[in-house]
Amino acid sequence: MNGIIKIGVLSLLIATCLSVGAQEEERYRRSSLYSVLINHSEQKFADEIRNSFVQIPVPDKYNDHELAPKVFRVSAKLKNASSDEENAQITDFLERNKVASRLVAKWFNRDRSTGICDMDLVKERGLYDASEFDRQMAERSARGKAMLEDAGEELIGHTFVLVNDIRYIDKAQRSAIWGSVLSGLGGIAGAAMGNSSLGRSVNNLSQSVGNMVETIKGFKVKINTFLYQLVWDDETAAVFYEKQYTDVPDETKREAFEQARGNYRLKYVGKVESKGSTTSFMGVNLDKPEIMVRKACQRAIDENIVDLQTEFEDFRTSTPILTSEPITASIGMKEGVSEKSKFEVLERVENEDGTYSYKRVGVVAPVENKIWDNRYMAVEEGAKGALLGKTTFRKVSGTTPVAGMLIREI
Amino acid sequence: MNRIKNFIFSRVWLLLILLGINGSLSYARQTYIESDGKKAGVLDEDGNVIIPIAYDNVEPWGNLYRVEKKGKFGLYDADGNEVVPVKYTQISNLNKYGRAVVCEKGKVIASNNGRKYVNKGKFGILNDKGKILVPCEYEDFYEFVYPGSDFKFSKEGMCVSGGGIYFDDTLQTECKYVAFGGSKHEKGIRQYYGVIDVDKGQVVVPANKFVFTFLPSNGLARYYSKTSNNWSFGYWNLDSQTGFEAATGSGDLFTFTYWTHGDFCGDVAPVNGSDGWKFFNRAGEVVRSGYKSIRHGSAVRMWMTLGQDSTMTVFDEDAKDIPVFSGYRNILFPGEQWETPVFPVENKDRRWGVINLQGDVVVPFEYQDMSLADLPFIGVKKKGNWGLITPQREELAPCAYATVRYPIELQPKHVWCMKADSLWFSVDTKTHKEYGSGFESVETFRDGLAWAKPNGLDVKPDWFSNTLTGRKMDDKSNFKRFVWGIIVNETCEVLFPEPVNWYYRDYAKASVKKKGRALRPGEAHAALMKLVSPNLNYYMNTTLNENEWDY
Repeated sequence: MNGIIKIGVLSLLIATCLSVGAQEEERYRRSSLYSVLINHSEQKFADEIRNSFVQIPVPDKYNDHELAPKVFRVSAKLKNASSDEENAQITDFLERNKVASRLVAKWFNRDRSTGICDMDLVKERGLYDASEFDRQMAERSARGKAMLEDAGEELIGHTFVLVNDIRYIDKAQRSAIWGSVLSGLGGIAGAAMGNSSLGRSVNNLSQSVGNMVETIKGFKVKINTFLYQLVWDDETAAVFYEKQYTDVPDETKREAFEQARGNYRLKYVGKVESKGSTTSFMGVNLDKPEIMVRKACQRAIDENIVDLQTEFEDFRTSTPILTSEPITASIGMKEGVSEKSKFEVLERVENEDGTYSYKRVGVVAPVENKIWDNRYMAVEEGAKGALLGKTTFRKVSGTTPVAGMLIREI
Repeated sequence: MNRIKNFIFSRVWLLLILLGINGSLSYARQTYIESDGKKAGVLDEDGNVIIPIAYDNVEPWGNLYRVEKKGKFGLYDADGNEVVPVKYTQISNLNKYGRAVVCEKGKVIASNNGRKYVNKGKFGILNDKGKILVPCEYEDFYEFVYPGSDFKFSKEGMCVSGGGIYFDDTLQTECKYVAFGGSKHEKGIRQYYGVIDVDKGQVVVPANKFVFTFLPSNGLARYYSKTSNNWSFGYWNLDSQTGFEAATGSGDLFTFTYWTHGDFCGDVAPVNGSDGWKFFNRAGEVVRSGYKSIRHGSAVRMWMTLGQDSTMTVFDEDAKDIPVFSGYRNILFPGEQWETPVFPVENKDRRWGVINLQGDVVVPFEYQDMSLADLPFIGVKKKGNWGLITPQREELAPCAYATVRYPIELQPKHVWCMKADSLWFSVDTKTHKEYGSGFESVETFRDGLAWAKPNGLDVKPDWFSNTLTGRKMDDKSNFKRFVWGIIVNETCEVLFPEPVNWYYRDYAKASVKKKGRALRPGEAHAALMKLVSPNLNYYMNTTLNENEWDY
């Protein structure tokens, strides 16, 4: 009987620990991301790439700050796409459509019809105590002002736009093969759209499954990813809070924001280009070429995000420690973790004014053969480490990290 | 040497999860699918070879492995034993009942819808242990998935449609029986097929014997046989391989306006002959006859019959009388979801009340009419108006309405009631207070929310509404097919103010639940924009309309 009770208590404890771990994993501040596709309608596979892209979720190390329009077509290669300099076409598109103002409006859940805003998202993503936050705001206290500045700097100022210019690599020597693949895809698309004539033409080809399977294995894309960051400085914030923010219907403030949309800005941070390497077809049902397209696109985008993090410190993500013995974190190969990686361990400190700061307390490194392969379809591929569920680290220097501390790659 | 280098440096260790057929994960010992980039096999965690690295593909298949070599498929178990030899053209994925199709010979072809099938193959069926239940001797298989209720002559049961087997799909049913052979199609259903008992691996109804054979029930298959223009309706006993004719007819079966005969339930089956309904036993003997109408209560396993003189008789599925119901004119049978069955009955004074299985009156005979819901609610009619009660006689809505919508939750706080002007109102089931100013159409409340179309709501086809319908509405009449409404709570407070068409109502309700309060118009617009985001596609050199953004 005693044994049964002990087992029951143990189970409960394990369940509680798991639950706490899961919650801890969720509760840390992330940068926010809006990701768009430049879709080359002049190229083959444009529709398949588009359909794959819209299914790719925001990486879980970032907040979903997506706006509804995500796909923008071009009919020719972007000018100077391979240059690291700011791309005039992309910047013009972002400015013309006042994307920066829309990202700000999303932060404050702004109602277009009344101008009403709220701080729910700021409180949620900033991990503020909601009632304390509301009280400080209502009292217009110094602590409240500090909280707003903290939120602005750490949260709103860390809002990014990723512009992914995805082109599929069309090698001349493959043209005949691609032709046959397209026939197969055309059949699928034809059936989906009820286009029987398209379906019939494929049927007439009497294409064998074997040919199509062989051809999709080599699908490749090249992605230029351009990174922009929302500008949220003191002046911008002051104007917004004073002239445009309202928690009750206010036509003057509503109109003020509409008029000021063009004043909000995105600054160009930089650009990376994917390596264009072949993606393994393992784990892909080769009868469904669209899965291969998705796999190739998603893995290349993930790689570009890692490269952008390496190059631009502001874009780097932090991840909480899950357990201290052994040291584990929910991060892996998708985030670029390799045996050569090193991470600083950050302790979050709450300041007297309610804001947070981070103190480096140590350095950790991944343990060989304990790196989680969390890349898209790694499980289906059966990749080594795909089922680890977390990466295990060893202490290199400093304090032994405890659950809840953050790690950030250095 | 190169091969060994490849093996060492480019090998991809695949940790295999053995996926149970129910989708549950069962972790056996750790084994890995090993690939040298060209061939695949299986090793255990110590590197011992379980299945040689000699196959073009290896995949988990239930608790087994499906291997492929030179276009041929077979199965291995986790100990490396060959369960099914690698000689089959295709082995489909397992379905949730642990059944799959296996095919020998023939050629794999891609159909025009992108799926693959085998041309001129020989098909069989195997189970999740790899045991071949039906040998690969049949040119085709068909499942009993076509509902007989689509035709007046059959009304119930399952027959066979004309679709073949695609190896991208799994079998759809538990496949206790499958059909084979046959050729002709009429009205989308196949004819002249035979039936195989899959577990026995035997043909139980020969092909070309009957025009239609329905999915066997209680060991007998209902059949429709034809000679010239005359039809024979009967039953085929699967064990004795004998049949009996129960009724006949003539003409085009698909124009029949009556149900010819039903499946065996218990020991009897109903047959509609020229002299009215009668019941046959399994031996082909008439055990009851002379009825002008019948009704079956499958949940309570009872039959109700009306004789030519309108006398009602109720008996069980073994044809034994249930005397407690004698003397009444009519009875309604409760459905599956009634925990304690009670029975609305009409007495000789043409008044409706409710009695239980002991014959006790639980609702007095004071109503003009009654109707039953799937859940234990009884629609009651008094003075020409409908209301709603529970079997415990609790009045949920008074008899004051043209009609009442049955709740889909056991303890409804509000129910929708329609007045004589055809508008719906939310009625509090305790106080009977009405809420709302009248809706043209409503959805039943679930979790306190419902989609409802306000009276006079007129959504015009524009960019946004077109986007929400998922198609361009050049034709205004086509647009009208989409019904628009809003989301309200039980007191008819508007929680999602942006018109949303019927197909997206659950999404709108989920948005309200996530927010935990009524959405503002802009929030509702943003929610709908997020919904349609995957469909949005613009040229980069255009400037979008404000309405095309969510914020």
